[in-house]
Amino acid sequence: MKRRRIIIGLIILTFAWVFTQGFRHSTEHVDKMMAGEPHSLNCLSCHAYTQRGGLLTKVLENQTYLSPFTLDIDQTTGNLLVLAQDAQQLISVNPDSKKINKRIPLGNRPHTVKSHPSNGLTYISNQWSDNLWVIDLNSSAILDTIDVGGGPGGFEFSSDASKLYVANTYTDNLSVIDLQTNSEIRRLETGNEPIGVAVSPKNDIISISSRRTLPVEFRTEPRTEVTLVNSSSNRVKNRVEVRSGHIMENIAYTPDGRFVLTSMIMPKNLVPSVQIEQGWMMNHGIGVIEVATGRQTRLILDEPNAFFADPFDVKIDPTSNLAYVSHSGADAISVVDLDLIYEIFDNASEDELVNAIPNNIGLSRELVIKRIPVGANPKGMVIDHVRGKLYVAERLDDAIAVINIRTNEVEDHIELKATSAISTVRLGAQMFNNAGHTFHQQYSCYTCHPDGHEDGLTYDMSSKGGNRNLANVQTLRDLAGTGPYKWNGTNTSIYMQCGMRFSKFITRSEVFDEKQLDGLVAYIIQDLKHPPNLYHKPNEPLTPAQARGKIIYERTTTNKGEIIPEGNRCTTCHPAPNYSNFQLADVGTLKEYDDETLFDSPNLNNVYESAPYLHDGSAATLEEIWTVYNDYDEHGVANDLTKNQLNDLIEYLKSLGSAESYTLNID
Amino acid sequence: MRVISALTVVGIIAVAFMQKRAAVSSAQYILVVSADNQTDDSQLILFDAGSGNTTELTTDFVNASGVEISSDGKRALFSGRLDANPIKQIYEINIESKSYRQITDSKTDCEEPMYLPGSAIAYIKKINQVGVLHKNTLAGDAEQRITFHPHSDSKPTLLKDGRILVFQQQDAQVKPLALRPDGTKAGLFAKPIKNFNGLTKAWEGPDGKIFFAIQRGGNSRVMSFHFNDPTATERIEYTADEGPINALYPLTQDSLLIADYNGQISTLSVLSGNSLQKLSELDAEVTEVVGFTPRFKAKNLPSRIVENDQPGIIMNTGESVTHVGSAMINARIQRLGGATAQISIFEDGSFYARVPSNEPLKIITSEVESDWFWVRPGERRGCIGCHVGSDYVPANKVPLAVKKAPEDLLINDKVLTE
Repeated sequence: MKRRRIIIGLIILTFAWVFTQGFRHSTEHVDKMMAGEPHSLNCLSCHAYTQRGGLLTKVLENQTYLSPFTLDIDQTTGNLLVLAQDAQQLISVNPDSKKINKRIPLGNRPHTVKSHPSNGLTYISNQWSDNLWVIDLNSSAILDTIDVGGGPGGFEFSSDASKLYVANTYTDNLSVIDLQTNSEIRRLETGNEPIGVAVSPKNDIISISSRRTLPVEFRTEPRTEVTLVNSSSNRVKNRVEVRSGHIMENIAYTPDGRFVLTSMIMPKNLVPSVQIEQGWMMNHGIGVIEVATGRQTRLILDEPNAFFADPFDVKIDPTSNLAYVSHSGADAISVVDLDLIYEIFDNASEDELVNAIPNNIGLSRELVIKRIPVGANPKGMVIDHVRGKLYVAERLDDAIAVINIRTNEVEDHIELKATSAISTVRLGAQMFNNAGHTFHQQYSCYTCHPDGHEDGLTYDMSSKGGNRNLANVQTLRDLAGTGPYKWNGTNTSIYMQCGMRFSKFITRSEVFDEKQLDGLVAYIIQDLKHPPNLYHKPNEPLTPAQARGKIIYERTTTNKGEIIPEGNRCTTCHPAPNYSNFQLADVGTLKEYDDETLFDSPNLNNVYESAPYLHDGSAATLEEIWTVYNDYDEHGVANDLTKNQLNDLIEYLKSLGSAESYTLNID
Repeated sequence: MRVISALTVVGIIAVAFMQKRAAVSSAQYILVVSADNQTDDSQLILFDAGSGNTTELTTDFVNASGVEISSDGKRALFSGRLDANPIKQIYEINIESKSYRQITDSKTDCEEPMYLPGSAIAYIKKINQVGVLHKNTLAGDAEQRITFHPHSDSKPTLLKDGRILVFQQQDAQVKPLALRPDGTKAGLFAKPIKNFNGLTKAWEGPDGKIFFAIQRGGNSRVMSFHFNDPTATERIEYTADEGPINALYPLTQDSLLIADYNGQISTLSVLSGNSLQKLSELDAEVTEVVGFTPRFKAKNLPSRIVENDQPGIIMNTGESVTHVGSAMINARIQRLGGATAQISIFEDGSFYARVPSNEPLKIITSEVESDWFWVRPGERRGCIGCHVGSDYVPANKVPLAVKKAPEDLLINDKVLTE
């Protein structure tokens, strides 16, 4: 009995010790990860929901979602074609009976679906496979694969349906495809990250919108290109640089072909972010370009205290002369009066078009005749002229909204979902893509981090003392394990990055609750990934230039044979596999009136996607980091390099992929 | 006690119009009623619209008013005076048990309390007879003044976005100001209200419409403007045929409870669209009505101010005060006493300057002068010119002034913020 009591006592003592010490240890651990910030984390937060591919995560988060992204009408059957991006499926659904007829597996990260006007075939762009699939819906067979440039996004048929114009988002060009041979007959340079394609009613001009600004002078407004291509010559007719607008996801012609309209975010990245009130940080709307003259203006679709974030698709109904704009961050469709746009262009001076109208938020009172609330994260739309409906992909609800275009009312929803349960990651996706948590719904996480990446802009976050505090937006892709976060490394965890400080400095509204924060962090870690590296495929050898660049990257002596101090070698601060040592450093890039700080060494995975560079975006290219901003070799010894050596180094840097691909390469 | 007894003796004739009350049959409201409009004898009464029953809530008080119900419907804030205390303080009452507790312990009257998200409250405190908006905790241990101007604040109300809407009385007009609960970013929210002889508290309804009643001459109207675009959406919802509308409260997205008073009888009615359904009559003056149904969940806004003597910073992006697209050329900062400091204006019309916090300031240009404004410690405020109202947003450009550190302004060679 005595022995038994001793054993029981020891067990109790052990449990008590483990419990108290474990509790103390875990509390200290979480406090450290949150750097003393208030938090409400539990063990599951970090060790279940946010473990990419972990067993516990799989058990807890065992849900499959479709995420309808783009839509079209099957020209043969009249069925609705739904491209479900997360499920990588093409779904054919009868919009009258709501019955799903067919599901066809698609390629890697499909983007756009279009039904050919006459040949009965369906075309799909696979953004992460750099190709288009030609599908026969009757047999569900993939009849052909058309190789195009990198990251094909939007595409459109010519009016005579003989050609296909494909926006290659990652390689900044347009593929012209001959549909007789399904081969590329021309590739034309476009703006930065082309995405939307529209063909004029007369089939004479192809317009391509793009997402990112062209390289601009430091601290000047972004200029994002709409490329106008002459369809008969397949030559660029005009490059219209849209001022202070970007993320032009989609583009559409007015029925007479006079204007193209693009969805657009209008950032205030040059204005110190002292407040959100009065549209201080962001506006959302459409860009309008008069095709013949290149005259342009921007029209805000927000209201003074209510913002309609992240416009995505634009569709025009020629019978009513109304445009429909889906606001993916505001769960709403704006119905825009096109007549007013004509009136504006017919009466406004050039100065008004350029300077006054783009900043007039009051215009939306007349411009927007109706707001139609829809489900979560509305993306692609299609007008079914036969049925008189507008279908809207409610991406994060796994449903399609059916809007009557006579009444502009939602009549129905076509439910595609397999489950009504919302996993932690899915909740995070909804949080990330919705502006409701920001003051006046002015912006969502997506607004500055489209597709989880960055928007290519530098914002003045306006420090407390009034100094300049420039922050080049950083990617959120493949972020797990790369802390600390922010340029100055203030945030030791993603939880901290998205917690109380985020509420104070970014959203300026209510802080995320525990469940929302779990979801947001889980989504960032699990779902936001870099696309395949364009310059180097895993398991393939480096190109000769990349191999030479690797030697320079790993060198320990200069061209003169002098030893490079350890702190000034590339590999010291940027070691594989993430190409960062996650330490703070001074690389001599602070400028006058910048806040004094050291910088966290950024990881370099897919670094080629993230121009401009340095904390303030002052280096327009990777080259400029060393040719312009490294006079004293503080950012690595590089002034001894020849031009060719620097080129090789850059080629190697572009080849750096994710930690996973690094592991594959080692193998 | 005396007043309540009087009310009890007189009897509250609550005539329930049974055939018309289906929509609100089980609804309860708290009314502020006064038996004698010549004396400050108002009391809080729980009124059941279904049965017509009333329950006196503030029997210990000489007077009680300014009622607001907590979001859980269990408690209410009010301003009241106990026999022993000549000063109006803020109290919170448990509606079921009628137990109450004193929140403020002020040397001057505190009135018109309101709940803020995050266990906080705001109320009007009289300072030299001028109403000044204050914030406090529900425990009453952290009072802070949050507006700083020479005019009188009144009728604060909570907006769904987490800000406070407060009426600022300026001579013959009232300016609706919206500000964050820490007193930052105060700005004109809607068009000034002019030419009136009575104005109720405003309430935001569930769908963003903000309602208030106004009396002009013999005319009494329910007005509204929409939160999304308040300067352009003002509309008349209803014009009263009978006595002035003393109070209103949004019940649902489509209906309002209103109380009018003809000098002898108060009538409670439900306004739905243009249709007015009489609910009850009371032989006392109803001066306030509030309902229990939560209208919305307001945001709990974070604060960035630092509670010390830090200055604030003001920034102008450079537009002229009268013409969009042309640059401001001259500006001075004026303190309440009249002393002014010249602000350096850059070529693009922008300026960037440190200014003292927690005191009224004006910007005077060669063209116009601004209203009194203030900054809180560490606050940074931006403006794009007085001409623009809420219709213009800042142009995306780097104001030349912010390429340098904020300017220290001088009055008589002395730095203004020291």
